[in-house]
Amino acid sequence: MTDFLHLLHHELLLSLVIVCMLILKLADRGRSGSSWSNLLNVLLLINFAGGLLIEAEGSLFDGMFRSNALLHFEKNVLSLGLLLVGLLATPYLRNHKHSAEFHILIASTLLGMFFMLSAGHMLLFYVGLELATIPLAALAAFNLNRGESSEAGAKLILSSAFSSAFLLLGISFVYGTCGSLQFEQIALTVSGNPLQLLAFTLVFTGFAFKLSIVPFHFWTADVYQGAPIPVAAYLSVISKAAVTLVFISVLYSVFGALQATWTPYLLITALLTIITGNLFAMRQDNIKRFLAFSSIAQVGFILTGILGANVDSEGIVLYFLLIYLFSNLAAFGVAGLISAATGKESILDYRGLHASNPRLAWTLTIALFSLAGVPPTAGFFGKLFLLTSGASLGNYLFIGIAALNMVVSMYYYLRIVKAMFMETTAQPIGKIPTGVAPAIALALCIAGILVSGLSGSFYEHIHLLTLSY
Amino acid sequence: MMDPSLIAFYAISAFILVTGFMTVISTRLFRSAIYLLFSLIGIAGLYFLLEVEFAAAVQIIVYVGGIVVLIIFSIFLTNQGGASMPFPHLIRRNVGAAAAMAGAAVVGTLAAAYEWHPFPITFDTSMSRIGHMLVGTGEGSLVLPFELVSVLLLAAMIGCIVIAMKSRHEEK
Amino acid sequence: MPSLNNLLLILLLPFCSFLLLGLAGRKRLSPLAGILGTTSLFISALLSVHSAWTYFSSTSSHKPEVAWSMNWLQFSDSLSIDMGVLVDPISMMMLVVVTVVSFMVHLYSLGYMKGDERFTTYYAYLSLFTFSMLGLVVSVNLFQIYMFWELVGVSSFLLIGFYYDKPSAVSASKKAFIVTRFADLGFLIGILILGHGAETLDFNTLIARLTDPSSPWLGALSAGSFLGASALTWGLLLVFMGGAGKSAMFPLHIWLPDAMEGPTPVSALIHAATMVVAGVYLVARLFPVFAIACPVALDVVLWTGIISSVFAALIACAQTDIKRVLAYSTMSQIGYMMFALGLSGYGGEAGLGYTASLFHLFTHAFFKALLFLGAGAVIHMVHSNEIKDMGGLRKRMPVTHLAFLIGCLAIAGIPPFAGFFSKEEILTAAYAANPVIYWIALITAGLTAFYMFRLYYLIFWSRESGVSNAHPVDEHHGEGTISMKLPLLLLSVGAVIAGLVPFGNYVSSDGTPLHIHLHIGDAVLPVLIALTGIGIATYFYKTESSKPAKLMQSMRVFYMTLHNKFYIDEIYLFITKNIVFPLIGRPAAWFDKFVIDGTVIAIGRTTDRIAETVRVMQTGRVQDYALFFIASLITLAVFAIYLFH
Repeated sequence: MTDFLHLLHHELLLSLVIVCMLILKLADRGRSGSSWSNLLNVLLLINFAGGLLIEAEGSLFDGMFRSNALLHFEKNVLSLGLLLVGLLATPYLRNHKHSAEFHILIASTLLGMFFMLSAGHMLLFYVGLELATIPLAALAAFNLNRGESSEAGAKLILSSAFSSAFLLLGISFVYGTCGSLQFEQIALTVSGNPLQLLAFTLVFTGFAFKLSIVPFHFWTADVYQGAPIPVAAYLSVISKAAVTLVFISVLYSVFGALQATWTPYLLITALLTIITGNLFAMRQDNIKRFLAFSSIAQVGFILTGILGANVDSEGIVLYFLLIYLFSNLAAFGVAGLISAATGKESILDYRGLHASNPRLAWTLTIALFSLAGVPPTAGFFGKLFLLTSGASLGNYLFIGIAALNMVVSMYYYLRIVKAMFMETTAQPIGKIPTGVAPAIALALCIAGILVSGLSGSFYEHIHLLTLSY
Repeated sequence: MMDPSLIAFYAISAFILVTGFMTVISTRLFRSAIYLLFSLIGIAGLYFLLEVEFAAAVQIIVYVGGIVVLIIFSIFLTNQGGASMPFPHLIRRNVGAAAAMAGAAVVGTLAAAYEWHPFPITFDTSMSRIGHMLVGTGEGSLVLPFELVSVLLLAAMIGCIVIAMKSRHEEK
Repeated sequence: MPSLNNLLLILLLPFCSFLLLGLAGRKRLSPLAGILGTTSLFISALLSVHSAWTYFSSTSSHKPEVAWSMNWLQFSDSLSIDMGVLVDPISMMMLVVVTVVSFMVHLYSLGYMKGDERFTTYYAYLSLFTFSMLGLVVSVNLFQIYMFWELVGVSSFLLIGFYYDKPSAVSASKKAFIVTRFADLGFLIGILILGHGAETLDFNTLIARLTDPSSPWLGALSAGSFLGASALTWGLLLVFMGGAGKSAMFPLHIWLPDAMEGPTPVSALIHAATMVVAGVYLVARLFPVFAIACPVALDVVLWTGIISSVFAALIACAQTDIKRVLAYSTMSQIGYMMFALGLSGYGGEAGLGYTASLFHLFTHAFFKALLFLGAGAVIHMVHSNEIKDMGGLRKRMPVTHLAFLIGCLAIAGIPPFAGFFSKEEILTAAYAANPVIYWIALITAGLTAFYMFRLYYLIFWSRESGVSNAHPVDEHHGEGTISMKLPLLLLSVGAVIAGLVPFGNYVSSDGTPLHIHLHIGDAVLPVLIALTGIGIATYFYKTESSKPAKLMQSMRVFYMTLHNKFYIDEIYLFITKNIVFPLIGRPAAWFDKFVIDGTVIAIGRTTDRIAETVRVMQTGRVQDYALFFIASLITLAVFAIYLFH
């Protein structure tokens, strides 16, 4: 029983939080939007802090659920991400009458991700994936009086149903050719005959869809544009980070025998993803779309790191995800604050931001520098390590193209910095009240960027964790 | 001389495929829904053939009795039951057909070329066994995904309510 | 060994000054900002000189030593990233150059930037730049140098774009950043290749591993080839690409002339004495690997250097903006340093080129900073960069005039000024290595003398009446404050005596003292050529007159009697006015502007067009997305199953 509690403590705690939210909502007597947010944020904080307490290793339910220190660490990172998103969403939810539902839905998706991460069985993995997707469609449609937002929700649910169909077809072929849905059994029996390759391709596209890997990314732009900024942030950061981690373990441990197949897959899609993401991002004037596309390009870099498939790769990707989480949430956070206060979402509106809101401008600058990989921000090390991991394959031409894209991305990230610091406009954004919760979240993000970049112990911790599993 | 059960299998499969195809190409929403109903009944027939009566019953109760009826209700609510849907553009139709056929060709060739061999797994499809697997904690139990599905349903319900409440609010 | 505390203080003082000025608010510290920055740099400079003095006077053989180092990121078991302080002759020499010039610029800016509303910010940026440059100089490994390299790039971006309300300044800073970023990309890939192959990033270990012919690392890197060159060659060439970008070597130089949009003292600091010589420093740092393991890469350095040198000198003859002339002249002089490194060998007498190159770096820092600061004083007075707005200023600005003259004499290589000695060493090394290079270098030296004195005469002589009406002289300014004159005087002293330093005793390719013997006979030809260049410039530009036109008129009368003289003049005239200017100088400038700049623009346009095409696929219809999805899926599956397996 204690084993059960220890291994499942993240999931149980999060379920408890969801139930608490539900009860609070039911018992609600006209509580105001902001006090709701504060209450729920406290719950998320408890969730994060409680997750840190216990570490245990083992498996439950006949190998269906596995847990170890590395998985606990990953779940802690995701819990922290959820807390940050919750804090940053406060100004958006202030005037929304469904702020409790927002938190319930977003917490359930995280629960789905937790189960995906710990899954040792295709069934649990699939249910977790659906739980991590379907509530997001409702969240994307959360701007209830905007057609754009409803469209985003509809597109997300249609596309994800489409991709789920292929994923399920793939899983059934896996079952048919391997005779089991247990990950360990699949890993033992997978041999790479043509039908298994097809099955793997189908499973691969399921992941590619969730990660918006080109050419399975088309839904991304429309959904991000329509969705509220906190949801877009969640989709592009937390959701992607979780799926990436599952993707790694599925590639490395379940389909490790098919490395000869997934290496070229990753090579091609990583190139396409980086280049397409960059080309799009370069031409965007809407900050939300801009961040969405640049995060597609970032996924391409993550694929580069996964490609290396050596002992260091998993640690490198995890390290990058952590930095990416801090940096991208900070960027989305600033954009969300500005959008919630003024409704302005165009990069052109950011001109002269430094004069009126120096703190926000500096926060955004550090975040963008980290995303762009300008040393000595953490993002630089993240990208460098990813490229090194990819370079261990010996394909320098590919690494060259990837690195070239790093420079291109530098250009467009810098464009925003330039707009904030070096340009002026007739109607600048006025002074924006930050509010306590978002200020805490932004400060945490900036601290995360700086500390994980300047102190080596962060990376060492992760490195050692991944080496032992 | 062919095995009668094999003949029945091919006959039911052909029925499923034809009705499924009709679902897709029919230009009237209501007819599409009815074809879908037949297609789902066909799948229940396959389950019967495989002697998994429980799955067959669930298929009929949930899909035929629940989901398709829900679809038909929604169609009636939109008052578009009899109207023809606009025919898709010629290029889109051809490209879509080509993609579908290419996909079918790839899957079909590979599945046909594969040397299938039965796995030594015995299926105990009795109701009590299924019940134990769904909520028990013993070997091969599926209680964890089962419970997770309940969270999924809860979340989906809340999501639906949030979206649906919009219209009531706006009417006021 | 100089004391470690001193070394760390040298680095930390500018950094603290940056933190203080950058973070503590621009209003509170405004009156003190300049004094604070200048004082911290003054202490830094004193400590540097002291450290260098202790270092060079204590030992006779100088091997690189790591004075201090800390493990920063343990990347994998074999590869870690450290930060540290490296002590060796060139790092000590660079510490002195950077802190002294930076101090001069800090001091000078007290007067030059006085009254600017972002005075504090300016000093914060200057301090940041100085700190990054110092960090670059003392780097113990490739990675640390890259970090500071980037930091230098960022801070120079801030400084060039300092006048951000001027669109040209913003676009110039952007251009500088992007061009050098592309070069740095090569640098980064080069680091990855070298680090991957040698399994270390540390300079000392790297050099030891890659210069030992029997080492397995060298064997692995030299084996195999990619596009006709070994991994080692590629690695070194890519590292050199980074250096060429920062040092504005052809064809990555396009950012340098535009970068003159920044405040003039900044140009003196960044584009004369410090940042632009980082490339030379980088090649010098890895010199043993270049020289011993990969002569091919060294040949590339040689030819890049010589081409840049002569190319820039030709362009400089046709420029009318005072700072652009100096910019091209910087590029030309750095080309000199590069090719001197390129033709040098390792160890003993063969390493003369190495010593000469760094000697030239040392002297050049003084006289080029002097010239830029002098130009700054002139610009401060007439409020224009254009030569046509100047003239006859020698009486109004006696101090500047004298300082500028000394700078010109030094750069032209007239004894006993500093430039003479270092240039002479380079020419001696070139003569021994390759006569073709020697002659090209000699021609460049002549051109240098010509365009520098052309500039000198056009500013300080030419029109006796004074300055044109369009830009009346601001008499309030006078020649500037004492804080502006003092650096000019100090640097003038440097430009006179820096050449007397027995440089070979301290800096040589293998660390053992190199005794350099210069023969008077060898020096005659270069000095004569330089004097000829000056003479031509004097003849044409000393007084304002359409000499060329007059010459043509008087030619008929004097033709018979002064046949010879005029004949020579005419050839020079013909060459300069009809060949050098229109046929070489202008085409070179044209090539620069349209072909090299144009290529960059064309790349931008093409990406734009591709982006547009990709965007068309984003139709917004879910049906289309599903179609793309399934098509991609089938392609992947077919690819994996039928083609690849």
